[in-house]
Amino acid sequence: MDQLKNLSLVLVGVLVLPWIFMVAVPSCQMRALTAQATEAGNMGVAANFYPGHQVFEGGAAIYRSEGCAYCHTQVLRDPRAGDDIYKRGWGREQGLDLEKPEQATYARASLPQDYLGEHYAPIGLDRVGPDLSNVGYRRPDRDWHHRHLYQPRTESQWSTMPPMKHLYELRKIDGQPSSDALQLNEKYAVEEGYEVVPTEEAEILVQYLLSLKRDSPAPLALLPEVTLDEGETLPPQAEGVVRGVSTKSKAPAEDPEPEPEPEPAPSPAPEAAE
Amino acid sequence: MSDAAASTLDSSEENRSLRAFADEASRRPVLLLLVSAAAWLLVASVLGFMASVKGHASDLFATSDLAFLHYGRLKPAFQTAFLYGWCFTAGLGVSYWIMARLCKTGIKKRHWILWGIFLWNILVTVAVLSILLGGSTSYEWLAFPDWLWVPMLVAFLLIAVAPVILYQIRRPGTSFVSQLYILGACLWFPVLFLGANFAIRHAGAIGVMGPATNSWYVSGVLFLFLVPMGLASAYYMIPKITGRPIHSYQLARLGFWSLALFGGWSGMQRYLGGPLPTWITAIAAVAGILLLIPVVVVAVNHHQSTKGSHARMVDSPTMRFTVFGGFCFTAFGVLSFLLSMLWSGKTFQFGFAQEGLQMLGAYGFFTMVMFGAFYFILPRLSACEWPSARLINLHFLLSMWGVLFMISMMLFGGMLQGQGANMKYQPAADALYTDGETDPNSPQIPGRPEGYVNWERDHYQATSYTAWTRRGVSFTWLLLSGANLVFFVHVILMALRLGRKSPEPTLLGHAHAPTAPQVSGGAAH
Repeated sequence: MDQLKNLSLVLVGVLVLPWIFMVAVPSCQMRALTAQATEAGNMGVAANFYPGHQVFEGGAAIYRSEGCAYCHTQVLRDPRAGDDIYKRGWGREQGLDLEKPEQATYARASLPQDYLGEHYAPIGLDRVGPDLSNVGYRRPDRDWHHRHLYQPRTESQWSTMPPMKHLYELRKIDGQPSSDALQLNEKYAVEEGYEVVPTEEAEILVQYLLSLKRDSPAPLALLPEVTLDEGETLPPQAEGVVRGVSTKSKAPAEDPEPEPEPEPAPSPAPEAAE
Repeated sequence: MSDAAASTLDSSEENRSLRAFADEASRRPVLLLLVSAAAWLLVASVLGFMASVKGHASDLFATSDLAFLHYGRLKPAFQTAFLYGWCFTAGLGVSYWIMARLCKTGIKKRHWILWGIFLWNILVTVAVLSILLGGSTSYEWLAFPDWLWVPMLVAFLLIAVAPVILYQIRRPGTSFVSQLYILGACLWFPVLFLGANFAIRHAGAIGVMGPATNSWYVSGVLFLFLVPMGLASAYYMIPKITGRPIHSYQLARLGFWSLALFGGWSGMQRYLGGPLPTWITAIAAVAGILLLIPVVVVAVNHHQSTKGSHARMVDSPTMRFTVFGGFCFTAFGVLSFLLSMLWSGKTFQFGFAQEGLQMLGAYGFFTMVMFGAFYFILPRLSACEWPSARLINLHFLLSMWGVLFMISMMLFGGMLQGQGANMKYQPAADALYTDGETDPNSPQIPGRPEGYVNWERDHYQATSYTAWTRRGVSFTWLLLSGANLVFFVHVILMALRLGRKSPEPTLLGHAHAPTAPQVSGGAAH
């Protein structure tokens, strides 16, 4: 008995230990996170608190039960791990004038606080579809979402997204057509005398998608540090995305001029350049 | 005691009768587990095929009445049926039998184990159905509704306590590494399942730690349940077929304890560079790299143990499947090591390759090794031999090519997907995007300055470049479904004792070779 008991204790122990350190302790840390005051004027937006967004948690259950996370992520990785922050449309795109692309800012890499109060951060498993962290900024139109959920090909011909027709009701027009009915284009229009209206679940899901605006201005203290050489300044696109810290210059900077294009340019940071 | 010493005892009449007693005592629960596992595998392959097809043929059967055929529901339903239906049931059945054999004893009161098996099958059915009907939680490999995990844990414990009891009441003087692996898997899974479900479902607003814990669980199931169960079978079957003990018992123990030590820390490197505390992903990545130690140790040990016995791969179905699984295990370990790096994440994170890695471990290694074990165990439970060598051969070929194609498609597709997503702006890609004509709904308006990049462009590239690999995976699921149908029919025939009544085992390749080391009687242990 003793041998089995000791062996079992050791075997269970080698797994309980990582559970405590890797799951229990950081989970408590995440639960203890709170919203915090931000510096005024950061990124030119007067938000008093970070995170300044509120994700509509009521819709998360439908997002999960329909398995959206199997194809969509909601995370922007650190530039060391991927190019996410340079992708146009993935962030909030302050001051984005389509005619003046050089004014676009980078998106901020996701921070743990961006998922504050969420039961399960829908980081996602695969990127068959685009990232949805900030789809609320990118697609603010409720009707677009309904058309797209009902039949994605009405909005993007080549999309491989499955239609969510089970969240919509196809019904005979009785008297006046509903004001909620979807305006589908010719190719996907329904029979004459019929209309497609969203169910309550569809409305909740769209409300959730519209609330996905995770790129709210973060306090400088939380932003990742990049080292700047003397005389070097942070490129305008990177403001509010990383925090520049000056050091005594050791060697003249090779490329102090920031690139105008949204490339992995901000010469900063040994880490960002890796 | 070493395996070599054990094998000298082996031929004694007493041992033979003990083995017969152990087989008889474990016969009913093991048979029930193996048959239900084979049935689940068939269900899972069909679900996997349907999910894969729906992944690229999005408009197929997309009506409001057929909501259960929605990709986002089929995918978790497939994973649940495959993992809990097939992998767990098969792993528990095989490990129960091996443990009984190695401990040369049996449990007399078995009815609660049978109840556990019934309960487990019912609960997995409920889990799959509730996912299909819209109750999915989308937690990876834990997609069933919240209330199901406690009964599932109870059912698992009812079954998994059997090998532990067998180990406790074993005949003195025998110690094998397979016993350690089985004991480890039976003790680790409850901790993993409890720890992950509690944190994910009931610990409140833990934000990013939800998916992080989920990735810890997935890696834990791979490295601390499927890997030990598969290795237990491989360490048992290889000496049996070759007729020689394993190469080094010390190496085998080193492999086990290094797996035990590092397995529980790995997993969260999946989100390297994500919004997690950096130290967590860093520790996980280090553990993921250190897991190369057990992988290399096992690879060396298996290679040395099978050296000179490659002829047995031609005729013994068990050996064929086990050795193929062993190769996949090495590939799985190396790939898992490579994907634990920051530089590989840029291309492979959030891509098809992650699924390829999982399938390499769960199908290429675990499932193939389990097939080998089934081919060994069932004749000993049913007192008849496999009806058809041709069907076994067909099963092997379809499974091998299916798995190889599927995993290469997933890995290659993942690479293309990552490259497509990271690619710099290319006007040619936009021309492709519009299929030669202008999409009126496209945010890309002709004549825009070149600096303005269509935000959808990256993911269009990622999707379009990999579309053919996803179609390829559907094709491989067709092969695997065929293979598993053959397997299921064969297992049912064996369970009904409709096999060949012959003193000689069913061998592949050439006609039965009477001079070869005795396969059915067993050599080692």
